[in-house]
Amino acid sequence: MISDPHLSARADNDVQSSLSTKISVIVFWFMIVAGMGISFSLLHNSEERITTDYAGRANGLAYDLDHFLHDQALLSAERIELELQRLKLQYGAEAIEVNLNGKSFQNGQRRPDQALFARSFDFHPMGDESARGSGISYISFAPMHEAIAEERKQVLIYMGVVLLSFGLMLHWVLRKILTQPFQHMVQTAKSITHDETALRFPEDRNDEFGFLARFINKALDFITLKQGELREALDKVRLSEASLRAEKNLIEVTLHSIGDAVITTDAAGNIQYLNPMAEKLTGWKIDDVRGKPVRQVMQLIDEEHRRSVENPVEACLRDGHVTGSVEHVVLVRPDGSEVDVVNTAAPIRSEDGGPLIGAVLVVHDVSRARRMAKQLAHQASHDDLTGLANRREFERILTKAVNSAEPGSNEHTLCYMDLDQFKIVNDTCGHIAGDELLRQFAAILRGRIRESDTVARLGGDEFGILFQHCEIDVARRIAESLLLRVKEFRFVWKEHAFDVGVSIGLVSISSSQQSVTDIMSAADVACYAAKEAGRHRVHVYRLDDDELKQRHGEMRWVSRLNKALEQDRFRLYCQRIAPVADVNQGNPHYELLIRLLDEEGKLVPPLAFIPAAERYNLMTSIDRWVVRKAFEAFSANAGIVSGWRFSINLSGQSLCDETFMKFVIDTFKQTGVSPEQICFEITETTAVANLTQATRFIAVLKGMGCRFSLDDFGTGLSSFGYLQTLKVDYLKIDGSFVRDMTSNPVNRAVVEAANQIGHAMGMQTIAEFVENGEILRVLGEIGVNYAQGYGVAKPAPMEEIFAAASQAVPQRSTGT
Amino acid sequence: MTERTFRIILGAILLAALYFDWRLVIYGYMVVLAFEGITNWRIPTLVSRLQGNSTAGSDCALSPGEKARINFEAERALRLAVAAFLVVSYILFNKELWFFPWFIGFALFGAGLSGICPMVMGFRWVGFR
Repeated sequence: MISDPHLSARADNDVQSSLSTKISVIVFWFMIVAGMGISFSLLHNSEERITTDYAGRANGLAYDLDHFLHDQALLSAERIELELQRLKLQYGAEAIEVNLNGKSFQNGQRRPDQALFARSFDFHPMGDESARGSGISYISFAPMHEAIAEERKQVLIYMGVVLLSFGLMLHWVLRKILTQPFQHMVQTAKSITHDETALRFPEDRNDEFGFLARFINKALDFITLKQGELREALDKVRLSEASLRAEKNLIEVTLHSIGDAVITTDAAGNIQYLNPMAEKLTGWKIDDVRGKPVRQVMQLIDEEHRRSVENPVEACLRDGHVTGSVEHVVLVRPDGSEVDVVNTAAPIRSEDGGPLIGAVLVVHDVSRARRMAKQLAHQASHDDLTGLANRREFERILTKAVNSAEPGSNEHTLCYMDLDQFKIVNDTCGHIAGDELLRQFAAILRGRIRESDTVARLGGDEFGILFQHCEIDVARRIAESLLLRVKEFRFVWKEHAFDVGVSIGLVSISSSQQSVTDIMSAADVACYAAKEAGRHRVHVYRLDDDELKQRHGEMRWVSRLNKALEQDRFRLYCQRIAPVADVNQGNPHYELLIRLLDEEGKLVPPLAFIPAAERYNLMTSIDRWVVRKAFEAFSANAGIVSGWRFSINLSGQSLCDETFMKFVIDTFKQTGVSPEQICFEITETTAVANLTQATRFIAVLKGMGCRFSLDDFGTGLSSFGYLQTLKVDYLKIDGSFVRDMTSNPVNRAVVEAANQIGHAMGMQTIAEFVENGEILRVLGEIGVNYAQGYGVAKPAPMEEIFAAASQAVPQRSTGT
Repeated sequence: MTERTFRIILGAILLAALYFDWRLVIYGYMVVLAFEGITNWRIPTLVSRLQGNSTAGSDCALSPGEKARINFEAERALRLAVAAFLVVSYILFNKELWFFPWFIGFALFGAGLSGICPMVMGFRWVGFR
């Protein structure tokens, strides 16, 4: 219970020589002093007392002797001797000498130092009054000093024995009633101090010890109880302390390892703590800045305006709530370097709702994030290849310009450019050369504009310039000077050199009522007009421009085509592809052709709307319509068209559409049409322009069983190397060569060459535009495999073809 | 033999010698005590050694402790003091101090019986071992 060894040892020593020793010493000295006192008291006047005693005894002895002599009839010496002997012994005398009438009698030796008493007396022998005699007796007692010494011995021995006995008895009694219980209590206390906490003092006594024992036991019980409670509380405190220490360690480790800078201040905004990251970020050491105002360490400025911004700690301490930093804040270090930061200050209170005792400032280094954000923003708004603004950024700036435009006072001009020879460069020297051309052209553009103008790459080889606060005439002069500069420019790639041209369309932005889409469309139309007018020229957009009216006509087709798709107003026609050797033989093979049924029910030929559909990205929708409708028809007439083959034209847009191939495959699965029945036609120029996509498309669908034709072969002047890449089954010689091959030997030669190339590559050849038997005959001579054209069969609605076939089948089956 | 027992014997011998006037015994007594005090060949120690014990317990309430600063044993001092007191009180001033030998005798006897020797305690309190 009490385990302080120092206290315990000291208590043991004190106890060892305390009470019992003191009692013993007290008893001892009390006995000594008492014995001495009593002894001295008893021995006081001993000489006088002994003298008196001796005198009394001498008197008595003399009286007895006188009486003896009275009774004696005859004084015989012998009897007197005997009587003296008796009296000496009786009265303790050492010697007695008697003189009777001149006669002396003596018993005992007389010495000079003896106490001598003389007594005279008269006597009448035999009672005879007449016979009167006189005598004197000398009584000698022991010497006075010997008597005194003897008395002292007797007294001292007596007192010694008595007091020693009394002292021992008193010691025993005191030991019994005082020392022993006390020592018992001490022993018990010692045991309790040595952790025998269950021990208690004996309570069986009714004296003070019993009372004390009960009191102390009660106190011990209370102390034990309280000690248990204290131990419990102490355990809790220790646990709490350990928990707090762990929390503290965790917080310290966290603060040391955290990636954010953490700074704490007192209520006055003076720094108390910087974590290592804060030291690294601010460039200060905690020992240098402890106690200094936080604003001295955290010098924050606005990134854009370079003005100081309020420190969030000060705002936090003033307002008493969490304060975030403003956007784009820069921390200026002592060495002048700057760090982009985001910071948050939070108040520290002594308790919930208590007074502010400081603030904690968390500073996050966002330099990298901000740099990446700037980079991302730049990438999102700029073209990777040329470094110019991209279409989105250009349209954003254009929107602002349009909104600020006012007629006569604040006009802008949009310049839309299209490189004329880009495709040739790309085809001839590859995409890398094409990219380099675009870069060099961008550099030319960048060198010809003002800082306030914006130049952007809008598409593949399309560029735009927004001339801000620039009227159309000024812009036209700038555009023409740009033409001159481009004309001077020759693009050289390895051994090839190209003259590059650019077609430019200009549109004036003079009213905020114009829409950006209209302006871009007008600029595109003007650029197209410049290109149509012979390329490398400037065309200014005017509302009364005939060429532009045609373009606008195309634009109107967009809404018409969309509506036709919605209303399902397209029709499928079929034109037979027949073997040249015998057009009536062979399995039926048709090319599907599309017609539009206009709002009035008239058929519109494809040439009227296909260019508009191609220009305004509607070809994929039309191709999907064709595939879906055709497959549904084939599926519905599966018994009729079994063994037939149908060619379906696909546009370049569909080839580039990632989802189109999946659509075709899904449609095959949904309708159950056999892929062997389908032959997809891709024009030579489309295939070459989208070579990667076309190759993949052909590979996948050929794997399913489909066949492919390379349409309009000969017009694209493509490298024959492409033919090896494109694994097609048919080569369709362009109709422009076939149509007059009988009269034009050059075209015939082209047809012969194309036919030979196709055959050499394992393809079968198809001649288009076979309008008469003569052409058919010449094709036979050349060795072309198939023919298609009015000379073979005119296009007819698919439904009619199927109806005719369905009638022919029963006739054949009945033999009619 | 313990010092306590020896003190009982010493006290009893002195009282007996005083009572019976054994002067020679008292003179011898003084010589023995002086011899013990000077040589530290104390009888209890010698007897204890003869009995096989290493030391004779002082058995005095005040044990030598941290206060011992004089390199002289309290028991030796006691012997010398008793011898000196006896010389003074029994030989030199017997008429005036006739009681003192008796006092010494009773004191030694009482110290032996009670186990408390005030003189040894006093010596130890002064600083004897």
